[in-house]
Amino acid sequence: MNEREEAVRLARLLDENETGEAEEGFSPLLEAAAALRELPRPAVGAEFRREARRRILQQAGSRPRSQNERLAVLRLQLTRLLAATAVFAALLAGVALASAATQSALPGDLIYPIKLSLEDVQLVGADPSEQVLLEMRFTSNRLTEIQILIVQERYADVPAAVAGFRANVARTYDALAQLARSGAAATYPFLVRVETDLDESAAVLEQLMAFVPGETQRVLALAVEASRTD
Amino acid sequence: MPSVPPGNAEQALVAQAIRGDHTAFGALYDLYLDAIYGFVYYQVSNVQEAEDLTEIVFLKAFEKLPEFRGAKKMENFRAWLYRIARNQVIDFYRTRKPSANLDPDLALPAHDPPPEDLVQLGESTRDLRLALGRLEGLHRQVLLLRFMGELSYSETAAALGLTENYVRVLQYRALRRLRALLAGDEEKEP
Repeated sequence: MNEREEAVRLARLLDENETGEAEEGFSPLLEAAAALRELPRPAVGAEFRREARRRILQQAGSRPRSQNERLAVLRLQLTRLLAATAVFAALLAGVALASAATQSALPGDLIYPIKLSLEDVQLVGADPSEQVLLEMRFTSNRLTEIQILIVQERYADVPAAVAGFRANVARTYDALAQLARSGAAATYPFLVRVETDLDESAAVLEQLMAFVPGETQRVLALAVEASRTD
Repeated sequence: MPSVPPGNAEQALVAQAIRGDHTAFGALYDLYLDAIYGFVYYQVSNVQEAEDLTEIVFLKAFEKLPEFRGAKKMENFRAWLYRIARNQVIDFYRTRKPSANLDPDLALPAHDPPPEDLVQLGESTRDLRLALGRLEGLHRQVLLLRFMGELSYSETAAALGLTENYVRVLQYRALRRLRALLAGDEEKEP
């Protein structure tokens, strides 16, 4: 065997916890690996453990948001706005098909109730974890609707859109509670995802407030409040 | 030392830490402090320096969390943390020998552990500790990550910026070299 083949063979023996009795040449190497596994770990001093933790968290708390974090948030907001603009452009071009038109319906449109009904249909038969994911998606739809209404300057329809957003946030939390009651082991990661999405939604809504009239700002503030997770 | 939670729970902690949740980052510190300290200590063999470097590792990890989120290749938080630790050790030795025009991994010198480290060890463990100190940097790192850190081949490769195949070859060479040192046959080269 060449070196590479021997390296692969040794790796396989290590993975299989072999002692190498069947292959004498590897026994010394397997013994050395076993000895390394048993090598005493250096103990971390209790005072260092405690004090370093305090210093690290103290310094972390005093640091302003890094450039990369700010850029990441702005990128997310730009992505959402571009998506909203793309939908708006498609509506103006008049190229949407009937189903797509329903999906693009906004609060105040005649066919908007159909869109909400279609969302409700998707929830039928969904298990608790799927319900959480669906409600998260619908909450995201509500946020997109708010953005599009603002782009179209349909400020009179924003209150209905915000009411829908707040209702979907509440339904998302209800779905999470249902998931927890169902005994699912993975509730916590869903909670983290929901809160991450809501934090991002709050950031988007806060940015939108800079572009709307005063009364619409007050309405958007209600949506921001619903998004807050702290 | 707290046990490492299964994958989803750790990802949840990392996600929260990225959002600026200090409690979550504190939990990650608690989970990985011993492992990172051990990795650093076995390369610098000095308690004070190991503590300083370990603290810097976690400070840098918090600072660089947004980069971790964006990195598609480095999806394993543990491997990413070890990568930071490795870079800190390399920088430490570069600082001590600024004129050395060495490959960053060769810049990690072979060294004997301090006597107080060896006093209470059994003879075979003492010999192993000495032999480990005499390996060249990259060999030592591969063995520390694979057998003390219990990283997989892919995690070790990610931590060292290498391919998995090369990690297997380095592991083979490192164990052969270690075995030769333990046998007192330092003429043998892998």
